[in-house]
Amino acid sequence: MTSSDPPGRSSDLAPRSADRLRRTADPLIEAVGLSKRFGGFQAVRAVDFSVARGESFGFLGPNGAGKSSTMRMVGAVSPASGGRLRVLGLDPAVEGPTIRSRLGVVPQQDNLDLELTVWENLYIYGRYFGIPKRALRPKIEELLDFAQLADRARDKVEPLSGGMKRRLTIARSLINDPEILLLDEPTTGLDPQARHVLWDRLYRLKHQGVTLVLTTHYMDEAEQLCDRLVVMDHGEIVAEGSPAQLITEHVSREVAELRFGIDENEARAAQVADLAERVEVLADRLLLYVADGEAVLRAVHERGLQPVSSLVRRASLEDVFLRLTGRSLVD
Amino acid sequence: MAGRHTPTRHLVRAHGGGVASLFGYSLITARRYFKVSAMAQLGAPVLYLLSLGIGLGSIVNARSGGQSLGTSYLSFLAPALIAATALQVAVGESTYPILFGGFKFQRIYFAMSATPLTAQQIAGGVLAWIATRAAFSATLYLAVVACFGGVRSVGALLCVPIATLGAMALAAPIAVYSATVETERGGFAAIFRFLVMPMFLFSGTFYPVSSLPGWGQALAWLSPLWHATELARWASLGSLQLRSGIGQVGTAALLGHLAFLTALTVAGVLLTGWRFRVRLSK
Repeated sequence: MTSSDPPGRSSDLAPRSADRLRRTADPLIEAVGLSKRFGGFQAVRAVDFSVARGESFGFLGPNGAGKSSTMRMVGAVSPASGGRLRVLGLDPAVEGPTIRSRLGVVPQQDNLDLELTVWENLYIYGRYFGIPKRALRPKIEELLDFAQLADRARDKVEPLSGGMKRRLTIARSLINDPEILLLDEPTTGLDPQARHVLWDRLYRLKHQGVTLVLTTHYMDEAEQLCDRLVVMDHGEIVAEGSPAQLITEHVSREVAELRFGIDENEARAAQVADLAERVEVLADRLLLYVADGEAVLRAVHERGLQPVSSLVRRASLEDVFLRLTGRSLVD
Repeated sequence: MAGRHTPTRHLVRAHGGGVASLFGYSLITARRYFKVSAMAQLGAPVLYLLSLGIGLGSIVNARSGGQSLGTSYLSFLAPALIAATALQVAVGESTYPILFGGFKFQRIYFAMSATPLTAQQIAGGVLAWIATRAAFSATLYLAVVACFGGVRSVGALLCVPIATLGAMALAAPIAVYSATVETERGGFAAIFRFLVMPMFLFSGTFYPVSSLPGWGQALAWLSPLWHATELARWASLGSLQLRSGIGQVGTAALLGHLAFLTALTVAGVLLTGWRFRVRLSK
């Protein structure tokens, strides 16, 4: 509704705007005060989030932040300890099987059947969803092409590379044409090339309109794949927004990194503090949060300070995380 | 998927493929090992029956043992061996494969639990497959016994369901343990050494338990294998009305044996489903 609409006309909304309203009012996933406890340990502390259809949504945070626990609750395998959760408008506690029949899940740890062939792994998984054998043959062919595994169809899974296994796990998760794809740390443990192949595949899915929900502790992955993300730490959501928004809101545009040597960083920090919006002292370097990195580097040199090495870069989600939690993502 | 899309969404069933799809999975896995395992399962009875049924049997039969039994030692031994083999096969399937393949290393149950299948269905599919394996072994064993001339009545066919029930009466409770332990520290080896093996030796397999002292007979009562053996002998030899009384089981005792085995099986199945649910929903 625009501001020019006269009051009292909300009941006469045009069908299109009513449709748009309903879509925003009925997200695919909605969590309010969602919590998970394991005995005395609180893994997820009353988090709120919602994911709209077609969106790529990410949970960014270090290991142990509660990302996987949240994913397992959304995946309708692990019951919530508190709060309200709706997935596809359904309550996971009541309609778990129905929800799972419409999800695709890529777990953090591959759980393929190593003794079966690539083809058989996809086939049996499709059967778990009750898909008839007839329909599975063409579907498996399509997925093998998508995962670039067509020539390995008759091979056992065991000897495949980590990247291939991961692609097979993703292919498997698509056997039922899921409405939402849940990816828990999709590229952890893969080499850079395998990660890029995988990102390319996920990017294609995103373009086809598949709703992606992923967890990661790689900020480059979050930047590549997520339209919107939440930053999690110690079971709580500490920030939310698009990657660009988060950077604008929480850190400066550029970062100047200075290395003075391990013993000197701390002492030099005071000498350059006035040049930056904020200075972060890490074990091996100083981070100066600034609008114009090159200008600040010049200013540093003009003060007669000679860092062993220096560089200027754009601020990243890593900096956002450091700002919000005082720790780095990958340790 | 470049330009190609094969829709399957409309074919997905909200409650999945059920136990049947799990069974299909087990069949695909088993097909791989079918030849090897069928050979092993034919080889074992041949060896046992040759050495014990024929070898030891010739001594037993020659020295009045045959008379006191009222039938050949082979025909006395065979129903018990069928029950014991089914039990060993089932226990084997309910230990390492559940903990290692299912929960710890390949973690295939976790893959299953992300589909519409419920934990109870997964547990049910696993146990149904173990029962099938036991029944398959019992059938092969019975066929070998028949080749050795050890089958004396049509009733012996009942040995297959009886041996399967007896096997599940132990295997299902063991599956509860396998689905519960986090780390294997020799528990499975202990099950074989201190449970299955003594059970095999002291459940009236080689001689009637009446030859044991009172406390031994009392212990046999606790053994699912003894109950299965009694039932298997009843099915195989009961109709022959042997004067030795072998194979004669009263109605009350019959129901008692069945009730004991059924109770253990049902409890094992329910508790396995519960343990699967707890472990898969962490």
